Amino acid sequence: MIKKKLPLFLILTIIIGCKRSPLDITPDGRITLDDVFKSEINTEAFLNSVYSSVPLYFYHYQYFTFLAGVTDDAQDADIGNESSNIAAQWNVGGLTPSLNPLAAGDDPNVNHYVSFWTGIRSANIFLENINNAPITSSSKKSRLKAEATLLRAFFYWELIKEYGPMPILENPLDPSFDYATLIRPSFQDDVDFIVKSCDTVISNPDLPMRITLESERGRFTKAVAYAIKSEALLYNASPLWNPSNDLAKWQAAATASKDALSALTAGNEYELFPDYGDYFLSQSDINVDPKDKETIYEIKQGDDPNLITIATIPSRDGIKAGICPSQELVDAYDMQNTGEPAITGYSDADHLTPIVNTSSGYDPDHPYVGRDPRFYATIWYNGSAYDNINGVIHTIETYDGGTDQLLKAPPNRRNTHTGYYLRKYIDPRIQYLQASHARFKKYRLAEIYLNYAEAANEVNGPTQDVYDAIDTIRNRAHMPDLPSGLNTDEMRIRIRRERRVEMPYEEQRFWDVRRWKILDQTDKLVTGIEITKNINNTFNYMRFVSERRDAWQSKYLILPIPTHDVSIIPDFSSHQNPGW
Amino acid sequence: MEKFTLIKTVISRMEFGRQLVLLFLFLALGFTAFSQQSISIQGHVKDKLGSPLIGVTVKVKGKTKGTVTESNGSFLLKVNSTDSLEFSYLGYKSEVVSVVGKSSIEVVLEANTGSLNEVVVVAYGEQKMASVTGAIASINGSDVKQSPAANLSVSLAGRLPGLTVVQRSAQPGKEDIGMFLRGQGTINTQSPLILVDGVERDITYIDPNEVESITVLKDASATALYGVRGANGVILLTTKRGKSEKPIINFTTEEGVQNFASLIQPVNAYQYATLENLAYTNDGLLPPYSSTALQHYKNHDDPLRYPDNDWNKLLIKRYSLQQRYNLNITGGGKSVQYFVNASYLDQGGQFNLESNEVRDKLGLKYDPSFKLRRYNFRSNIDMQFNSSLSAFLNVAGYLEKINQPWGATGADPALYIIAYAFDSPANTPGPLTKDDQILVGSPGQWSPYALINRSGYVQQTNDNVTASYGMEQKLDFITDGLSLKAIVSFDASTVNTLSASRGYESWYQVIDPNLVGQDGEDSVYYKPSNAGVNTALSISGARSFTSQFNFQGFLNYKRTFNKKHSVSGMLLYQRQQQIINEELPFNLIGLSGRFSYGYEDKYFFEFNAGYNGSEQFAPENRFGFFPAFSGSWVASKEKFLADNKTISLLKLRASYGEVGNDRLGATRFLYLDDIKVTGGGFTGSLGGGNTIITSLLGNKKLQWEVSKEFNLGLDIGLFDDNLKLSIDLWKEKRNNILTNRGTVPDVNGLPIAALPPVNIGIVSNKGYEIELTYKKVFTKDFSLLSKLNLNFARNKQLFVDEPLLPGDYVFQHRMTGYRIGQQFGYLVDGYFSDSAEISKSPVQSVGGHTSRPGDFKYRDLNGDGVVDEKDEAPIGFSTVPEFTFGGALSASYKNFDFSVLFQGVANVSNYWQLRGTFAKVNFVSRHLNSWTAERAANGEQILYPRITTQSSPDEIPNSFFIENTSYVRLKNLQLGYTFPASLSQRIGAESIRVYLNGFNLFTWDKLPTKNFDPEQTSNLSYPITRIYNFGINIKF
Repeated sequence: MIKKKLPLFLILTIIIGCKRSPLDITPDGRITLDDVFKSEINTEAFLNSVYSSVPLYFYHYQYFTFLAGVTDDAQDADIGNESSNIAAQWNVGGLTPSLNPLAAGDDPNVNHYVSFWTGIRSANIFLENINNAPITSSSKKSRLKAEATLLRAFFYWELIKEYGPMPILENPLDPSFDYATLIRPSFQDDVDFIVKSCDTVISNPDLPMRITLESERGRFTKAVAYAIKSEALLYNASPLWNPSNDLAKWQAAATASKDALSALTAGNEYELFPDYGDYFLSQSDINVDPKDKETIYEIKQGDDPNLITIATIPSRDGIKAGICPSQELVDAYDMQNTGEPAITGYSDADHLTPIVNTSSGYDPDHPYVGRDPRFYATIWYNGSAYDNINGVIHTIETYDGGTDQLLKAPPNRRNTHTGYYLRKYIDPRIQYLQASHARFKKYRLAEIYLNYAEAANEVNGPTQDVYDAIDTIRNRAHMPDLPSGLNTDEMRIRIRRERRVEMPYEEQRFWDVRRWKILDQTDKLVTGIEITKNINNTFNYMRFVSERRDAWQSKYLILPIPTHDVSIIPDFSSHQNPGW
Repeated sequence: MEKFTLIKTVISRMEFGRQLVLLFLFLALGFTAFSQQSISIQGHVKDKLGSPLIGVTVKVKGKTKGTVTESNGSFLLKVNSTDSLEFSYLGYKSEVVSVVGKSSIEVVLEANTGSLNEVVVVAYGEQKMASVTGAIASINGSDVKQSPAANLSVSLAGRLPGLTVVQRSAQPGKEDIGMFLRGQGTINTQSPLILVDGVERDITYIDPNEVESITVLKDASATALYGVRGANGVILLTTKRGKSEKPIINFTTEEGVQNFASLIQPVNAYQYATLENLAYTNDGLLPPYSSTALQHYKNHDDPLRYPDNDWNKLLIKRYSLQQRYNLNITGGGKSVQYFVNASYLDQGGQFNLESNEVRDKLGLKYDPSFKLRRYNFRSNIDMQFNSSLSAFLNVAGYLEKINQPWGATGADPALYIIAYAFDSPANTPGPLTKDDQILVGSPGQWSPYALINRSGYVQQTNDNVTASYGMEQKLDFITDGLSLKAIVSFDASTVNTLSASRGYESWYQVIDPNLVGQDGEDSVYYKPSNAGVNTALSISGARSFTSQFNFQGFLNYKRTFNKKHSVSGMLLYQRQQQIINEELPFNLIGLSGRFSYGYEDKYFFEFNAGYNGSEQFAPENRFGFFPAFSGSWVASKEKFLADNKTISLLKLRASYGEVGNDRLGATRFLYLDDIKVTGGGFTGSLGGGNTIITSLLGNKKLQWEVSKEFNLGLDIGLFDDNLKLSIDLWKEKRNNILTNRGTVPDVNGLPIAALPPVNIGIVSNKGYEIELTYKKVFTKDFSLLSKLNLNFARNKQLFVDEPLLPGDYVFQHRMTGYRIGQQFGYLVDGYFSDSAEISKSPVQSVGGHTSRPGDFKYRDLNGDGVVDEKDEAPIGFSTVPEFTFGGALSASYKNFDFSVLFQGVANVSNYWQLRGTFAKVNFVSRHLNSWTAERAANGEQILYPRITTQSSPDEIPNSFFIENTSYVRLKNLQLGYTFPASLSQRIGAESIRVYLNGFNLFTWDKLPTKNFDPEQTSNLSYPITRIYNFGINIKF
């Protein structure tokens, strides 16, 4: 018997003798957050994570398109063809608190509400840990800290620009935080926080004014801080956020932009790029003395072949016409010789009857002659020369029956819906499936001149300083100075017009018409031009409404806070943005 | 939990090596040979009516040796002169006859007056029906064989009370099948645990001829042994084993045809053009098709310029073939029994290939067809070494070759083919140019024809070998009824995918009015549609490998004291490791125990428990204990019922227990932070170009789900159990459901996916199963068996961490308080008839569209004058039915046998959007009856809202498009004829049977169109098929 029980004893001995449980397997490659900030290189790598929340902007909205299709600068050729397109959804009034059409696209950060908060959290984690992180050089540590501070300010600024005031968080929140304690501050509070952050980094000697090493391309600089501050204070003074027209706000905006201009242009550190058209076709060069001294911040991502296929004329290979410039934008360009507006407005609600400024030299039968050079740099129109399709200069034909003709009715996304095609960013020398070198200029010097002019005109009237700022912009584009003797209101109209033609398709117009609270004048429709060719090779021009829109009511001034957060944070519910 | 520390230490310290040592020790322990004297005995087995019983199991009592009776009821067996023989036959009472002093035996088996003596498979063992206290149900392999379906899982639909089987696709080899036992109890993995011969294995590929029985374990007492994996119920498949001494050779061949049960049916070219014109006119646009064009489409007089292609006809076969061959042999010798099986299945696909001439001309020397070829084998061997030591070896495997076109992406080609077939309206020219190149309707368009024929192919080869070896040693020398058993299993499977893709030319047709052709008409020529050129195949591949090791060590005890107290116990140690590709191993360790006590076959009590853990959880939360208690009372054995002529069985069962679910989704180690340093950072000047990815914050307290299950059962048998009714009422509450937190705002900044999931969800689930069985042998020529089952399972999400929507939402929750998968949408109150009605009605602010006549009038539920997302309401049910039912009838009359299975579901909904439903890109017949002012005024039937070229406020989830997908199907029908013995014996066969059967033969549903089968949930899945099948079975 004992002999037979022996194996059982053996088994028990074996079982108890084993030390390790097979369930204790070591997962691979995982570290904790604490581990990250115990190493210099990983601490730096975490700042890369903060940068990764910066959106791509540009043509990365659904469906591979620009934001411009939801402004009066363009009609998107996907209207009627691609229902997921942001313009197809937005322009019919598809925005709701639970669905933001603009939050879709191939940009991983296209849902700005989420990505900005993600960026703010990452920046806060970084700032919470950087002081104790083992960074060997103190000036490096100081620079990293300044970048994170500025990134956080950037995320806040972009966030409140879209969604209005948001609680200021300077520490990362635990998931189980009591969110009922979050209260929406005033817009001013947020702007103060952003300005304070910008001032901190501006005074930091370890943050450079410009990046001079190719390897550091895309990192934030002091110049970015100036740009953010200039823009934030301008918005803060604008009608949307300054209903009582408090001139002190305009003053603050003017001062900030003036300071920015002096700091940036000191020693010609920053200056306008000489050629307006070429400026948008390439990536800025980075070295100690670059050709491009205008760019303050450029989105790093680029060099993909999509841009050339999603905004192309039908005569070339590609997917779609994409953004078709509107007749309204075309009308906004002044005449080059006189410097006067060609068209000052419309006498009908449908924009079919333009008010022609006869003294400008504009000829309605030859509408594309003698316009602001920026028009030719931005828009392909009937008769313009598109150089080099397979080595042959091609003339754009948007007239009925032409090779690039307008086709009004869907389905078609290859042909223009307005009579124009997008030229800005499109380098015709780049062939189908080749990568475009164009980059999205998030901040550039020209904007600061315009910011300054606008704010200074409100607080001091059209002083010489205001003229100088605007004329600097115009002269670069080979446009004459503005006529003297304008009053504040006339100057305001000129400045707004200048802003529109200087920065189309740069995601300015969408926010400008909101902060000016003129959405009800600009966003009800866009028009196009139907051109017929006569036997004698002259053309007839007929305006038509190419798209009517239903997203111009005052609730569209500020995006609604997403339902998800409104449902969780009581104050977001009781202080949801107006109209939602 | 403290008291389990020791056990935990003990069992968690075992390792592979030690287990193998244990097995060998065990083997050595048992070998003690002894000799015996034998005699031959022969006999006959008949029933009371005098007909011979064929296939009666004749077993030497206490040994594994035995045989089965032949066609005249006779048997011959070599036995020991002192042995007794045990005769058992399904539906008959077992008999034990001693052979002492006999050389031949005549046995009359009495039809079973009760089902209590039937033996059923339970968790890690077998039990007599009488002693079962939990909720289980089972079927025999022969039921499964009535279905010609290529996939075993779908054959279970409607057969087993409590089991819901849904088939979402019928692509050969890639059927998409969902199984639910008692509905959905959790938002995580809902499928039951599936074991083949006691080990976790897939049943999809099992050949139906291998199946002895399939059992479902439903309540906690039945599944507690599986502990942390038992909460979703368990399906046990047991394969056949050798029984007789004389070899029985079974050969079956089946030839079948199959076709699609439903298919999206687009309209013809004329109808298409008319509807397209209508959509444009509705939008105030000029109609694109002129009356001349319409006339041509109608008259089919200019097919070049005005084609009318029936793409379904071009692309889809009227029927495809399915073949099946099976050969199995069962038999045995003195100490060895075997069951060996080999089978071959060849299932064809439903899509047409272009002709060989064209393929040869283009040099396309490959086969892009959809098809499945499967080769199975199995060998189950039992060995009896002496009176106390036995062993078995099961080896089985399959080789599958699944072929399909490469399609658009290499994956799911059917989806793209069906989508682009729909996107090619009937007036799309094609499929080929005059030079046999691909022709499409417009530049850049996809050709479904090219996806099938020109894109290349994908061949997937699946190999799987499973092997189990086990030994059992009786330990009667320690105490009577004690035994020790160990089973080791190694399973390995590989999937090798060979993808061969190629580029192809594609052209579109231009009709140039400036070039006049010979016939005086416009000239037609082709332009390249894309930059594609015909290329050679480009080969790539992917492979995956899975291996599984499983060890089970049992200590069993079974004994009856004083003929009154029957006691049994079982202790099981189990260890499992799965290796899947390059992933870290998946480990599972468990200890399970069962104790049962029965008194006088009247009162039964059972305690089952599982104690197990996996590496999914933090060390301090790794092991869970899952107990279940159950009992039953066989009232019919009490004196007051014992002599009742009507009531032959009355039994009450009750159980309560806790079981777990540790299958929490694909992400592993949720208890740990998942922060990684990876390349691809924003700038190379920071952190060496690396970036930090926070994929997940860990939840240290992560645990399994816990299900508390309560079951009450009643079994009633009437008239000698000819009529039997079983009712089970059950209730389950699933706590600790792992969910992602929904009440963390985006303000937090941590991506939802990175938030630690927490065990906070609660789902309640309850329902019932009713099974009614009627069986009777009327005469020796006529018998009948009928089974009806009705099942109901309804769940409710009691706690979901979701935000409370603002107060002006009519329904402030989307999940809490609703069933899992509840659909939401707008309620439709008919169509707007004119603009006056629109202006009187609440503003329809749905998707930002302005309403027009012919649009749906949505209900303003909160009465704020605006219809928007605040007015969304729950509509219908989920895609998993709440009611399932099955009705099976089989009868045999003389040499004919007949069986039929009706199966159905109710309380189920689906939302098929886009293709085949919406009036976009192409149209189906319901669009011919879309709303127009004219039709509305004439009082014509309207089946669809106004059609439009724009995105429509009508084509969204609403009560019109969320459809009731209840159905009743004639799932199987089988008619068989067995040739008279005199005939079959002429060719030396014992019996020859021929049969016809079918699958999914007819469906009654409530769908407005025949575009979709109610069982499929996606409009683009490979449609469900119908099969007609003919088979011959020869037994030697």
